[in-house]
Amino acid sequence: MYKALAYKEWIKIRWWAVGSLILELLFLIYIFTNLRAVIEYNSAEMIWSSVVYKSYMFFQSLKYVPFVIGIFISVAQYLPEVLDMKLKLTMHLPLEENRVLLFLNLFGTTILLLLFIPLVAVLVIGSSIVFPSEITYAMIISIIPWFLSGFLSYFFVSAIMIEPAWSRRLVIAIIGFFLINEFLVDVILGGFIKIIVVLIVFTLLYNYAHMLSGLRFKRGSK
Amino acid sequence: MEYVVEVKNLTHYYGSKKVHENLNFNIKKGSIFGLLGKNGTGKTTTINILNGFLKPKSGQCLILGEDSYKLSPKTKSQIGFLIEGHIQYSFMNIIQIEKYYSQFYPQWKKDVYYDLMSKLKVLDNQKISKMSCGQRSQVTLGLLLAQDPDLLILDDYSMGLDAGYRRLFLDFLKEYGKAENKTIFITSHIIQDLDGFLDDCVILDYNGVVLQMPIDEFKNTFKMYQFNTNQTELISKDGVINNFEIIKNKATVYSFNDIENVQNHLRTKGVNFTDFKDHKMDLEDAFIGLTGKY
Repeated sequence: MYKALAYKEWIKIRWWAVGSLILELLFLIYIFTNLRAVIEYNSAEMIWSSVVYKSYMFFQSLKYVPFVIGIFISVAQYLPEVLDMKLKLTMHLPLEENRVLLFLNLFGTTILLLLFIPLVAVLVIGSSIVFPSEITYAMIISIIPWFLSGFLSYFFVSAIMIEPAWSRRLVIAIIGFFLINEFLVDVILGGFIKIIVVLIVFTLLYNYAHMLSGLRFKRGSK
Repeated sequence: MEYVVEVKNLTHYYGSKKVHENLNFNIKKGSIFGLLGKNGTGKTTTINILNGFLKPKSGQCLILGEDSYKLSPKTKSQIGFLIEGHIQYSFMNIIQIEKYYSQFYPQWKKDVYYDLMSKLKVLDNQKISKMSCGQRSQVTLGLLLAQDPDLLILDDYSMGLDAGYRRLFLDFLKEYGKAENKTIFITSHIIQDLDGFLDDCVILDYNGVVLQMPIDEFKNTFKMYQFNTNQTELISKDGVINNFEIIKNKATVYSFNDIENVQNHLRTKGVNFTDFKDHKMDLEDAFIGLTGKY
């Protein structure tokens, strides 16, 4: 049965996932073309100095990409469910409602992981070719909150769409805006190192915002 | 008597607006039951409560013996649910949607679905969103019949359908219900279509249940009388007269009483009449007679 649910979710998401992958590819081409140009037209010392003293991040343009992809996947997955209250059809399936909601969330999260992992992998490989491991490590620490913001935007936008009450939608949107903003603040290279675990825990906790809204939808709350 | 649906003292409010207060009705196994009422009388609210999509303020609804708000997956698999407007996953085509639903129901009847689809002039890869409302209704009907549920709950099957598709829908349903001893719970705002289809009905108005009885009994016992009178101001609703209309000096009264009782009752009220006639009514006339035009 869950295989069938995954089949339905994939039909909704597939073109958006492909679109997200193309978006990632375009950004990667831009980032590495840019990095190559910087390396070609500047001395190695100058680049080093920029990275170490001015926190030059060659991957900076990627900052909002996971956030946008999180919104894409959420809209692709949940908008067709909430238009005309089609979520009722899903809730009427002979399955436990909580499990259905959890599965939908797990499916979207897995798609995000599958979209983010190759992107991070290419960045890490590209960075390791040019920079020493310390800088690559600092880059990973810097981009983790951005990718977490992708999961958060997915969780919050999903919760906003499923939530039946407009007042609560507004509250969720405000919380989401301020929380995600914290993940996207500008800091020095590797600056999130001390709070990265806290950010991950926060992201996992907010996963359940969507579950609560889903159960409120089931109850017919207004 | 085996009941598939039992509604006991159901009360529900939207804020301070009363929708139902102590609503009671039962649906017998194998019967076709209609919940009839004008727009805004709480038909869809009742359907939502029965399907567990709304928690009533008080009272209880039992579906196949289970509290409707806590239906188990097994019980849900025995209920076919049509959402108002023939809503389905419009991003799927007819092949995809059959493949999807068939995984959830062990007794799935693929042939029933494809028999119905073969009558539609749609392409296999045509998305449901690109179909007409009539075609969409056939897809939802095919899915419901293939599911082979014991109880079908249909919320306004007639919405958006022309006369042909409405008839087709009911013809299939009737055959299905009678052949398989299935129970059907239906709401509709096109009452005339349900004439000869329903076994029992509940009629709602804005104050609650107006009537609950077998449909044949309703049609046979509820009467319309027309007469001329100059004392129109003396006619009012009471224990004998369920409803009335006055146009100039022509009066129409509706009653469950026979012609003699109504005439005697009018005389005791001081109403003199001439040209008193008893008129036959179909289900729609009777429904309007009972609930009024407004």
